[in-house]
Amino acid sequence: MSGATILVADDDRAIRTVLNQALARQGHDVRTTGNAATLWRWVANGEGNLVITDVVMPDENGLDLLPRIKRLRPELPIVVMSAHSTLLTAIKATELGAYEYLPKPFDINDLVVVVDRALAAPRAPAAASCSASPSARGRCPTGPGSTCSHRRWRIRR
Amino acid sequence: MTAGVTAGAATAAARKRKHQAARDSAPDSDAIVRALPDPVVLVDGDDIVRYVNPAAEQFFEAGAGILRDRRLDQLVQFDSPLLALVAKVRDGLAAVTEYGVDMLSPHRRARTVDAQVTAIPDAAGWVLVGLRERTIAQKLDRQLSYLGAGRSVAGIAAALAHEVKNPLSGIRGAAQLLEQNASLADRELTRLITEETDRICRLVDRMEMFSNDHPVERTPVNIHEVLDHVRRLVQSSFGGNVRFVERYDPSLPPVFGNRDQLVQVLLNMVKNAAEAMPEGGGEIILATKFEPGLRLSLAGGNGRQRLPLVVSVRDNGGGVPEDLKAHLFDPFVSGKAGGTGLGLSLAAKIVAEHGGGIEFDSEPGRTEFRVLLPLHSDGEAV
Repeated sequence: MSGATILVADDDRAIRTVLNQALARQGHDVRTTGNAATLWRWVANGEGNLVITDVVMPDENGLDLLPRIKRLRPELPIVVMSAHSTLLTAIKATELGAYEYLPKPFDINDLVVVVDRALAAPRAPAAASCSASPSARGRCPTGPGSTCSHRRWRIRR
Repeated sequence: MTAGVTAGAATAAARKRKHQAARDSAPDSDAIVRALPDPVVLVDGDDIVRYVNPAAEQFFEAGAGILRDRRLDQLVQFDSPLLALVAKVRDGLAAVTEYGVDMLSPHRRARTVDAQVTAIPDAAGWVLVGLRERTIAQKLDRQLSYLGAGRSVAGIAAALAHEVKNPLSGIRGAAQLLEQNASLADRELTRLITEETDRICRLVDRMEMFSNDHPVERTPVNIHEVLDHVRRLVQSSFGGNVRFVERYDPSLPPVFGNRDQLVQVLLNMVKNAAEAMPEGGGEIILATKFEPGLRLSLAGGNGRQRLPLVVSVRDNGGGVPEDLKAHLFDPFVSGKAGGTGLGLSLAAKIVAEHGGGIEFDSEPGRTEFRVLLPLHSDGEAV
């Protein structure tokens, strides 16, 4: 799906620039912000088809924002990126409903693939079953506390 | 009001006598305590909070009305070092300062403070607790709180890794974007940028491993199988330059540990040995033995411990340079060009976590590293 609106939140300007260019070259409309509050405002206004967010931001932790976004707009896919390459962060992100976890620094081509897949994924409602086929890996918008062991396959590099 | 403020008032009164002119305009002692930017809590002999200043209200995220008359151990977590400090002061010390005390707020936000506890003269058991939040520590906390890492060299390594990886992402991404429209010759250069950023990334990843203190799974491990695996790995990358000699004690009991970590430790040592080989080829002797009498004093351990399982890696290379010997296991110390200096320090950390130790002897032509491990008896928690 090209021509989607992608909301990017990262307090690092260099990363915003790179994401903006990389995704704009794919034909997407990219909006970037350096804080969680602006991202939340956009999401609450119903904007965007996909969220790409950092974890550590000056005003709020991206992982804390995740459940709120999921509650408000369960269909909105969220890609979490972080410089914490620990398995724990990855597991936490996916358990909170992230579509995908990207450890920094990531490959631009990987990013494009993830974005394409996230935008093409069926908009499953929040209650979707997680016992889906392996091809549905990573697409179950699960709530906190749910365990979806197959989703953990992808969180390692 | 309170004993603490009374003591302050006495000093203020003395000053007033000296400076008659200022008497009318001097603020009262309560206003002074209220103006302090750092949290101040006054606790009576029964551990009941009797006074908090506005900074303390902010720190504990509750109003004075709520905080007053509560027990100190309701304000801080039950195992807080702060309670121990208060006890120390009541035991007779006039004042105690502790740096880097970890505190959890009511909303479980981790913070680090410097805490000063002072006895109030003439008021038995009453203490004044002063806290100062650390700003740099705050920054680290924001990044570490959910890692569960302590404030330590390991914690700093993790925070540093985080700080380095953000700009790396920008550099790597920009290089990849340039590559999309670059000429063949320029593409070689953009590749160089991405490859070199990946190299820095691997380095900080290894640093971060120091902070990875999550429990690892341990099982009985056949150390000979581990050595065999390591030997094959090293042989495949060093080829015919190295001749291996194996002197194993087949009766050696299994080591209770994590196989992957033990592979990492021994791979590091065998690789170091292989890299030290003389030009024309050299010899590495891998040996295991059981030395029931061997005891070792471990740093931080209580007394001498039995470490009867011995795995040794010996080579006939040039030896460890004299000036490196004392610091060989320190991070970032390396005798190799391009070495990160993390291999041996990481190996030492892993072996220590296995309850063992590493020792070495080195002279030109004969260097031996010995990994000493404890015997695991059934039912014993290791």
